[in-house]
Amino acid sequence: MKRLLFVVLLIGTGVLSAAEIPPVQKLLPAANAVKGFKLVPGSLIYAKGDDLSKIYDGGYELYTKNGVIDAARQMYQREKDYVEVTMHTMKSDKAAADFLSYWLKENKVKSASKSSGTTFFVVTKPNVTLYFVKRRYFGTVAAFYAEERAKKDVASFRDAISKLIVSR
Amino acid sequence: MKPVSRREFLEAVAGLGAALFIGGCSKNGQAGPKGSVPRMPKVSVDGLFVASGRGPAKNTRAAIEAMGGMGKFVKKGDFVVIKPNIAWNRPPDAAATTNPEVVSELVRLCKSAGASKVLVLDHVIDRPAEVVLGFTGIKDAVEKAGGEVKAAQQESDYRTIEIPKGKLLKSDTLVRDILEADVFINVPIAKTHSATRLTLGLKNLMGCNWDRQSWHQSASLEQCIADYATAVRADLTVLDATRILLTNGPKGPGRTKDVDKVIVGTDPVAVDAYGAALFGLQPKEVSHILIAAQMGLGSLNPSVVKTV
Repeated sequence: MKRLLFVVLLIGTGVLSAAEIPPVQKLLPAANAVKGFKLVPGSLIYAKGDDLSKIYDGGYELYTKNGVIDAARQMYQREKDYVEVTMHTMKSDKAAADFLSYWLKENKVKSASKSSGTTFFVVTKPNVTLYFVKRRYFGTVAAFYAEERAKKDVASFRDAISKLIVSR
Repeated sequence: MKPVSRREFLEAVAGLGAALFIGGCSKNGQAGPKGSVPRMPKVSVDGLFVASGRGPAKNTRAAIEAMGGMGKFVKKGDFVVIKPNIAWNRPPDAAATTNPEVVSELVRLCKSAGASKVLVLDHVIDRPAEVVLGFTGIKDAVEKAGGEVKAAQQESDYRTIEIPKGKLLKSDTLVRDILEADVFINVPIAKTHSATRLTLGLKNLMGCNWDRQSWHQSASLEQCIADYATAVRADLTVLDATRILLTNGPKGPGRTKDVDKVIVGTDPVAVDAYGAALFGLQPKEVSHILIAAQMGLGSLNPSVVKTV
């Protein structure tokens, strides 16, 4: 009986832990979702509301004012290549689209493209960064290495995340 | 009579304080007596010294030499703390963190002047801090130059200081190593900041404090920055304007501009005022610089700007 109770408690704890993971954090690709990229241990950050300062320091108010509810960030590594993925839950689909427009303007990019159900654009200076939205999620994928390789990788991350959004 | 060094003085004060102090840690958990003395500079040099066109390391050396050399600040056996901006996991060309060549050149200059230990530190925001120290290029550069690197990521790394001249902040925390240092050099990078327009020397000091969030949630972030600067005064501010971040600061990615300058001074307001001009701003347009000037921390119009 005690053993059964222990097993039930164990399963219950596991279910509870899984349930506590914020939805936005579940959009961060797993290790090797993009071939060769591992998670950088200790790099995961989740923050909500004013706690977004943990991700953006003093810059966080720009995000909250534009409708970011919460965000999760994870670093990935493939040998010496680093990729940083940050996913944000926006207060609405419109807020997500508007925020992408803000970044378009900020980066002086004329228009966004569409692929895998996402609307996105890429800037390549000073490093390759992809900005994208899908539904009420706004994301950035930044890669810090040779441009052509980085452009392929950020697109792969975008596709991996897009699949996770579909499945939700 | 041999003058009492800053370290000896602090050790004496700490010893006396420990003997008298009853009741344990403060609210924020910092060990030791509350209310350590503010951190004040020892040497003042009139004017600013600006070196340009040589690259980060040579600009740094040229500006310091124009000022009279590092020996003006660092004496044999001194413990030096250098505080660059290493908050973000960004490579140097992103202009979100201080150029490692500026920092390593300062380490060399301090060691040449006789420093027994040069510690480069910051309160790193991105995680994990060890990765950030490496990715920014700071760790390698500093260690090759003979310095040590530390991320002050534990609350126990901080001590409470009093801020007698503060309007919003009456006390706060400061990295213990800075409190104990004989010489403290503040080495910001010049960049935009979505909350404060710019982050230069005064704002860079925010990274010496444990709890940033309380400043953001206060009535005035700008006043907090100026208040803190009344109690945490660097002996020297070295502004890295090798490449500046024009948009999406403090972290970027954003548009950058190659300026190829290093600006050095003992007046933190004057350094920031010069830095503001690099962005086409009047210093008065940046609230925390204006407030700092009004609080008597320095001049918005330095009397001498020596360009080398």
